[in-house]
Amino acid sequence: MLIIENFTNPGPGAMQLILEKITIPPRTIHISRPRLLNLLYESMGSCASTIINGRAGSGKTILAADFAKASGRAIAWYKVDGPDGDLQIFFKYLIASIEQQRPGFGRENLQPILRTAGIEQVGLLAEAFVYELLDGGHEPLLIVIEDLHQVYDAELVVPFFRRLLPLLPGDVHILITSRTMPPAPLWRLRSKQRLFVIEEPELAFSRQEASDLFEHYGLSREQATIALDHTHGRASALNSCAESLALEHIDSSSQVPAMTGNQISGSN
Amino acid sequence: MAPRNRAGKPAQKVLIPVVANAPGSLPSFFLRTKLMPPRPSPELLSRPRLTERLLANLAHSVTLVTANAGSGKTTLVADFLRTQNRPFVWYQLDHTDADPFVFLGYITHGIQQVVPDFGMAMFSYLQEAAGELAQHPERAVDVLLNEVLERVDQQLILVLDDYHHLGADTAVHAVLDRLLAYLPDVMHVIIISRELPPISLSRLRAQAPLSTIDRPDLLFTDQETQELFRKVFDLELTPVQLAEYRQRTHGWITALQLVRQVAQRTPASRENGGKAEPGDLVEVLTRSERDIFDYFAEEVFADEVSETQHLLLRLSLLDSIDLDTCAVLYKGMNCARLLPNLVRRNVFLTVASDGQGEEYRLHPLFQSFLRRRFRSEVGRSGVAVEHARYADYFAARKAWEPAVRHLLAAEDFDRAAAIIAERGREWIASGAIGSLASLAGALPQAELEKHPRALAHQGEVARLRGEYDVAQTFFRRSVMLLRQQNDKEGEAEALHSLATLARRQGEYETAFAYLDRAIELAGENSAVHTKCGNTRGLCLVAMGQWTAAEREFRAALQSAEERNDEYYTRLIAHNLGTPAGIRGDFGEALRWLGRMLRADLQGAPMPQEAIAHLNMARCHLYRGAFDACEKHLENALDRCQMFNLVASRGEIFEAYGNLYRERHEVERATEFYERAARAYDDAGIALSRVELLEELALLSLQVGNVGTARAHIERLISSRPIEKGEINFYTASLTRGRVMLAQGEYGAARTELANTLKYFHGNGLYYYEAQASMALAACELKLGQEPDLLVHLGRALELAARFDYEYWLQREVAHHPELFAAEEAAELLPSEVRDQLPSLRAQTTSKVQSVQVEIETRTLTDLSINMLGPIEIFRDPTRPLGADAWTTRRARDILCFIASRRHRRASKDAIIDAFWGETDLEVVEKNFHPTVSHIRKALNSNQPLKQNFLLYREGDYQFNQEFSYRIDIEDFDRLLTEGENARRARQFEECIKAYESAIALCRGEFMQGSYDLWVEEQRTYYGKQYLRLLESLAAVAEKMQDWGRSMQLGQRILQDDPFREDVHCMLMRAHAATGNRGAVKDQFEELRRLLAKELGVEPGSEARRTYQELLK
Repeated sequence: MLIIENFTNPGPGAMQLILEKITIPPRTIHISRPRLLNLLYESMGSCASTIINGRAGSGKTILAADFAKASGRAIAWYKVDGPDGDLQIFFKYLIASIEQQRPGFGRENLQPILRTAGIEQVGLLAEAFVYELLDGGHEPLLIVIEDLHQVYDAELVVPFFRRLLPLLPGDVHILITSRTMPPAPLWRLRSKQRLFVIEEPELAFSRQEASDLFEHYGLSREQATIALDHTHGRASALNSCAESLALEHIDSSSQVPAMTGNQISGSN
Repeated sequence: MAPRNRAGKPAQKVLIPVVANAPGSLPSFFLRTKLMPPRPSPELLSRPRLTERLLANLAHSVTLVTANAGSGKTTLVADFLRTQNRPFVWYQLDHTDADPFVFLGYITHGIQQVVPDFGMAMFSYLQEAAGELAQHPERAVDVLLNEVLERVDQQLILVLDDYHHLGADTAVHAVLDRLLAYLPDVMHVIIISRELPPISLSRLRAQAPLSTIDRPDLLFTDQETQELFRKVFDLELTPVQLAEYRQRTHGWITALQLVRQVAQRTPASRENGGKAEPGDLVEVLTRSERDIFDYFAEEVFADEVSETQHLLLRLSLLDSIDLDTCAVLYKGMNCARLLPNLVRRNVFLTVASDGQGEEYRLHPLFQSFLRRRFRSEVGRSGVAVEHARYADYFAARKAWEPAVRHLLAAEDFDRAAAIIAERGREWIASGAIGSLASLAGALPQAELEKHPRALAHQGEVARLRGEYDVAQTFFRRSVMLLRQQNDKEGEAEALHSLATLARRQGEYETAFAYLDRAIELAGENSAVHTKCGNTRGLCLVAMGQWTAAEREFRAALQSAEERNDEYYTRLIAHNLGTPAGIRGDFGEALRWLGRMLRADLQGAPMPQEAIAHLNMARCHLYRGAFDACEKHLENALDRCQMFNLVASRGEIFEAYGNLYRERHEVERATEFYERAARAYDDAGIALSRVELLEELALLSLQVGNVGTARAHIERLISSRPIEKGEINFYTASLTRGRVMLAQGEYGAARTELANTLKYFHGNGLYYYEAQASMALAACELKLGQEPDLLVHLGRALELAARFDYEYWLQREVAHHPELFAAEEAAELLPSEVRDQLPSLRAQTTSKVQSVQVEIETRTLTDLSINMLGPIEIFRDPTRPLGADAWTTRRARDILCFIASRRHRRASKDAIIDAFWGETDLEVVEKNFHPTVSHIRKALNSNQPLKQNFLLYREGDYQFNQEFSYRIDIEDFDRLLTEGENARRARQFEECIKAYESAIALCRGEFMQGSYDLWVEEQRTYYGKQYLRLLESLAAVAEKMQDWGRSMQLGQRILQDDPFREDVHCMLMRAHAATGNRGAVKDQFEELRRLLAKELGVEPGSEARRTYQELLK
């Protein structure tokens, strides 16, 4: 694990940041999914933010990482963990991830407020955050916040995003992945073009995507179809199914293996 | 404190200073993003009907766009601004803007983005006078306004989006008030808000028209919904799907969009490239409810205080909400204040008023949301408790239908069934048979069987609907169960119902058996007893036993009167009139029939009155009282239309036909017989079951068309043999005998008539007997059987005297004066008829002749509109529309406008453009529909038959194609084309004929006396065509050397255009040809004088040359 000193706030109270948390995860899956990438691209053009919502193993992170690389924007990645519910920690990571792309971000307005801010000032923090983002002259930015559900019980989340999303500048898009929908009213944001939501049914593999994936493993369209029905299109299950089938294919003969429900259980 | 700028980035990012008098407050940031218009939605549908209004409103100072959440307010305005090339400031408000300082600061920044040097004065004021601003915020407005006047020089639109976020309690409202009160004309403010802002709108209205786009405006029309699905979602909705969407969403755009998102998410649509199959859409609508309900929960419900939430959840169980109900059910809640407030705030609640009371209704989707939420909060049992409370409330007010509905919802089936059993009769009497059937159908069978009277009521509903088999099953089952429960009265009722079913099926013996058992069970003074007597009487009438029927009716009438049963008293009294009428005693019949109608008593009209009026009209007609007949027919038709009595409609039209036939108005009689035939057809009644063919035969006979008469009557008799009813057979036979007589088949006629006479005499059918006797006498005259003739004539006259058939007798005498040629025969006549004998003879012959002429020349038209001259509009030339029919000329002209358009059709917009022009839309909206309704009323004024000539279809008003029209300009255009074609084909006679006919239609200039723009256009066109026709005809006349005609036509042209030198020349040539040199001179002199006086010129060379040549 890479650990970095929090260079924005050196001194006695300095905290260490885990670099991995603000780095785009490596790519693992073998196919690209243009349908979803297009959807995200459209959302980036027409909305201020996107939530990818789905259970574990539904392919959120991989999709977000794929999109981050394909988006053509500067990327600030922040993987949230349970302890990040603390206001100071949350903002430190968030600022740090953006600072990688926009040096000096947050120093002038955000951090001075943050030093003394309590939970009541979350709205103001959001405004200051936007204010700093408005500083022109940078390339457009995509902020990815992974696994935000980890801190849904923290007081800061709802008021912060509620204030933030309507105010985001046009050249900044926030992409959030989460296992459940945030415990906050979202419809207004959705109807006002501030938020786009991709839900699990959309994340599920389509027949064509499953075929593409299986083809990649040297497997047939029929196998893909059967696997798709068993896994309900869930990304990780489908992937591990393809992997095991492919290995079987190599180990044994060219015989097509029989498909059973047992072979195709989920990977989680 | 100066705005804090970062070096090198002036005015882009400004920190608005801390409000001076609020120490300790934190800084607030000026965020440019709040001044950015929303991004364009990818699913945008342009809505020209609204954007055009926004555009028109720019002429005023303010536009208010107010509607509930998610109605597309912001989208509409943003889309409008995107398509307009006008500078604007978009200010997205939230709760932090409820401070005048922030509010004015953002507006100033916004204007600065458009007008770069703007804001110097304003910013400096905001910094220097923060204290004053806090105390008198409106003063800052003056600074702003002055700066606007000074710096802004082209129109600027300021949009205040989501104004409702500011809440009720902020000084910003005072600021806005002042801003709007003194707004320079260079600015236009669009306020977008869920509710009307608390500013003084009335003052604004007084100053200038306040333009508002509100919830009903924003709702998607069917057309827009269709368009949205077609263009944006690439789907074609069927009318059924469209109706389903309308019903569920009421055109609320957010619901439509959510539906679409769900449609896109479905796996099937993904495979299909994002396209959902239209068939799935209704299902998708249901599935998208989860999202829609989330939306309600977050956006609408959560905004309300808990008291309101509490009320809304409970009110959702009601289908419609009135304040009286709320006041009783929710005593402590002050609903009279709360509900109007919710409506004002657009909380998915609408109010409708019928002038007597107000009724509130929840949006169907919102109502579903509330119901589900209520159930999740209080559980099924909690909901049931509330429903039971409502049921009590409605039951106490005898509102059985909602009471049962709530009992069903509370799953209290026993009580629901009990109410249906106890109150079913009142319920049915109120006419709400559909609701009784559906509610009873929703009850478990076992519960209904516990209350067998409820089953009987279900049977009654089935009977009224004509489902006799179903009805019979219900009644039989209820008879059995009622007997088990020893409910004698109930059983007797059900048995009576079974008897009425049997009667209807012609099974009279079965009916009698049921009635006997019913009477045994029912008490002597019971309603069932009365009803049984009446039904037995009706059976006897149908069996031809009129005397027995009268006896039954009399007994039943006595029983009804003893019980003070007004309803049955009226009904049975009327029924007593029918045997008298059939017998031919019309005076007696009228006395009884009239008792059905209660001129003295106030009360709701009854459907049976239609039959009473019809029967009375028939009696009056037999007696020759045409006016009374017509009056009763009008009333009958009125009731018939009121209660939608399909079966009686045909009979009424038929009776109208008879009336006109008797009046010798053959054309109208024919028209009404045609209507009757159509009405019978609509009602599924075969012509063999009614007398129409017989009446048609009589009409044909009257106009001397005996062959047709014979065909009609043979058709009737062959489709209705004697087994299907003796009386009907013999009346038809009587007519056949008369037709044979007219055809000269005297022997056959005599046999036929003798048979009928025997039947009529034997059954005491006096009117028919008199007719048969008279016809027989006519046969006998032809056959030279004098003694028999006198016997039959004597019998006819005796009956006429006894039952007062004076009218009939006069008519017969006039038709067959030869019958009375012999002294002995004439002697039999009453003296007053005898005296009229010669004059009657003369009268009828001329009448018959004139009728025949009429038939040939006139064809049937439902509506005529003549516009070539003073306007003439009529339906029946003999019966003009009421004198006050067209009190508003605009209504009349709109009718003409539509009539003059292609396909007699004009869009609403075109009508508004032509007749209201630049008038404010609000005024137009207020006046438009009343005017259209005025047209409809005017066309029905003073007409017995109310028809709807003007239909509204897909945005257009058009003439109802079910009717025939004669519109003179259409005839004119047609004749013009015919003439042209004939001319091209060198058929000059045809051409002249067509042209002459066209000219004959012109009674003056188009729509004489109207000067609207559209009229002028048409007037110019028809004026030109008219002149062209005259010229062509004049040229032809000259060519054919018809000098008189050419002079006449030339003069007519000069009336319209006196400067036509060529026409003057033509006239000179005509005068010369007829040898009138003086007139040639005069004509030339006239031309010379006219040109000199009016134009100051001499006649042209052509005219001079013609003149000189002619004088040589």
